[in-house]
Amino acid sequence: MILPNYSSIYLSDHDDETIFNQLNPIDLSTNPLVINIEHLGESQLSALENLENYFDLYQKSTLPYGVYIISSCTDYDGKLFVCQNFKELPQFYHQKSRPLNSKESTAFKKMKLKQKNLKNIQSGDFLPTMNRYAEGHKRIYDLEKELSFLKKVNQGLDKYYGK
Amino acid sequence: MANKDKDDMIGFKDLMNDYGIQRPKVSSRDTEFSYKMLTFLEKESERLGKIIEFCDEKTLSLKSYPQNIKLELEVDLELKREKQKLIQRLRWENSPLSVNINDMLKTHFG
Repeated sequence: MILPNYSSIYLSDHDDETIFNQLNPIDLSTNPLVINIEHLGESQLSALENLENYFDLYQKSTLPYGVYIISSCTDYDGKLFVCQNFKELPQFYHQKSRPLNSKESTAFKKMKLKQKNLKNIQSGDFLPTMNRYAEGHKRIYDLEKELSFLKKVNQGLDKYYGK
Repeated sequence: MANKDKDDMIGFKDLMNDYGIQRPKVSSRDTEFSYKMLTFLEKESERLGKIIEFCDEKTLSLKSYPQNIKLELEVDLELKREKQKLIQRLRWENSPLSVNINDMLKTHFG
């Protein structure tokens, strides 16, 4: 029985193709993933950008477990969760693996069932619905921005005509 | 011991033989570790349950009652109204746009 502990991979290169080849076969619905890019040196920032693009492009959901990046890069302020070393990761998923007793095994099966349920929900219409919702609100934001600009111009004209 | 008493003790013989033998104690650390694992699994299950509930409810409510379409229409209408108002005002002869264009044309083409 595999507990939802951290599974870690070392990114072999920072380019899109390598990222795709390494991350695509990984199932993110069973345990949190730690991607180590510390060894990439100066190309860490580029690797972070490409990783961000990968998650955006392929709409990989990081629910229910997160994706954590281990990097020595300190000037990154994007969407990904970056930390300096393993100690900074949430302690909750640092569990020692051992054979489970009957009570634990029941709880484990229950948890597995919920993982599968969530995976089914996500493979259904959850992500497209959320994306549609987000896009709609982005459009509203753009329209509101234009509207506020026009209102400002009209207010200026009101003042000009002395109203 | 009388024969009758011996017969009465048959069921308890094994227990009496083991009496006084020290059994390995379950240390408090083992118990604590075991509960730690159980708590972890239960907490994780609870967390997943909450995410499922959220995803399920959100998807259903967003699909059944989408708000953005109506909001977009409202903002769009207001935007058209503001644009028309602005265009009407800028078309007036003494509007800042007309005045500036006139000035510019005069300076360049006399």
